Amino acid sequence: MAIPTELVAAILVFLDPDHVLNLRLVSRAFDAVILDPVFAKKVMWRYYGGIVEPQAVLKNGPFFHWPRAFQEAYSMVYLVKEEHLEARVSSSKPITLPSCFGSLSNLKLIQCNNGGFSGSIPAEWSSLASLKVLSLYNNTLTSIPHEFGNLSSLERLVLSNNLIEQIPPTFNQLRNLKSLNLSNNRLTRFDQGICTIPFLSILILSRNQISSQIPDSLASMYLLTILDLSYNNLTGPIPTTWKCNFLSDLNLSHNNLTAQIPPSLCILPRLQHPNLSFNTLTGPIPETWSSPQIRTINLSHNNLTHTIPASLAHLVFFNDLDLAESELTGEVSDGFSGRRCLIWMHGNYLMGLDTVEEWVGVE
Amino acid sequence: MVKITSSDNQEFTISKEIANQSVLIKNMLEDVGESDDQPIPLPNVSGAILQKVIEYATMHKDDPPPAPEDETKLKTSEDIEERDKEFMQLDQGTMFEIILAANYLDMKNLLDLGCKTVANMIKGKSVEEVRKLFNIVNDFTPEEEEQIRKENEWCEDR
Repeated sequence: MAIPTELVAAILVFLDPDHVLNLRLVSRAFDAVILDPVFAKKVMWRYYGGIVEPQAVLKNGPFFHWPRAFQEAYSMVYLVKEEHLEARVSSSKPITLPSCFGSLSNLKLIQCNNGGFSGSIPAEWSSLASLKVLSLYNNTLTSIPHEFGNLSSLERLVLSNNLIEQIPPTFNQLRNLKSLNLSNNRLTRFDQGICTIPFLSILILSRNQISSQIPDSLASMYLLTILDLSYNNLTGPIPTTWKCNFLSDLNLSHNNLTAQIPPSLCILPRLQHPNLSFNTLTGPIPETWSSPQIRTINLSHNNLTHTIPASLAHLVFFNDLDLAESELTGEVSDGFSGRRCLIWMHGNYLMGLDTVEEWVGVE
Repeated sequence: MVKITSSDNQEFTISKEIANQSVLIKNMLEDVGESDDQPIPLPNVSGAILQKVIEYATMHKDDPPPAPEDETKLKTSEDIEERDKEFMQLDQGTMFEIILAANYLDMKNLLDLGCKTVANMIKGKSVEEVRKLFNIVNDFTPEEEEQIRKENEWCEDR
């Protein structure tokens, strides 16, 4: 006598989830029973009930290997009241992020870093109305769903070290997004979605393959405090009109930027650490550096000419100027005499250095 | 005393406390009232099986009433009483018939016992062994089978 179909669920519920999944292959009847969400929920309930914390299960990873019905059932039972999810999977093969998390409307934070997660971030996650922080660095994710513009609470999105090629245009709807880190991905251009995020404060796009000019719209992102575009293939001149009045850290180094350093950049009032090194910038160093907070200026490895502007000597907190491997000539102002600052100067043709006390790296 | 008849018209007379272990019979008794002398027909259970079920119920007639269902409490297939294990030493056909009867008569403890026993038989067995054990025919197409294998890959090689 074969197992009566109506008893299959009642019997299999006493087995552990992994074994149950294997038994899908027994017959169609078995498969249908096992994939039924109500049954899946019962298995999870019985197997994990009261002994394993959801967090522990997530960290151990089996959750991510279960088929959808099991993941759904499990998250319905255990995760529905969670606000924070942290998951780590050590797996040699790539796995996808579970779409069922999209129904966990309480979630405020998801961290699935270093996990070997691949493919797209599930579109279902776009309904996570409470989500503030989404951190998915060190994976092999390839795309962000278009629907992510709906994540109205999202404040921080960390996707560094992935394989993302594009930012959806809907990002301009992310009215709470303050920080976006896409360092070390596969971006090739400034997508419309990036430059129109309304209240963005931190934008990190370093180590991508962006090979275009810096759009003027980027230089108009009023609330930016940190902008890192280093290690791309940026070309053309730096935008001439900068409106980022809160910008403190600007890194445009290791690109192919040309033409002169625009004066409007130098007068940004909160600028602290401008780094324009390793480009092919030309012309004189502007004299208009005026942020009282400037601490370091790195203009090394460019084709700058003329001399060091005397105005730099009057900046109060200024303590590190790197001008190595430029084409500077002429006399250095007496104003630097007695200043305690490090100035990296090798590879130039300047005169008057003997009046300055703490030159370092002068050749 | 309560009279019940099986599908093959065998009549059994059992005490009320034994009869009440079946939620189905208990409800029927409440519906028809005490005075009715008519036997309760159980058309889904044969006499031989009913005999075994009564044997189980008699064995457990002094058990405390079952606790209300606690879904979060772990139920394992390991916690089977020795006398129950002996009771379930049956051929497969009889065993399934008893489980079906327990399901029909709504006898939770017997149903669980039966299911746990079968689960223990399945435990540790491969798909092929399970099919053989219960005479199940593989009704998947090779493509379907491949698809499931792919979906299950993770559990298998972990």
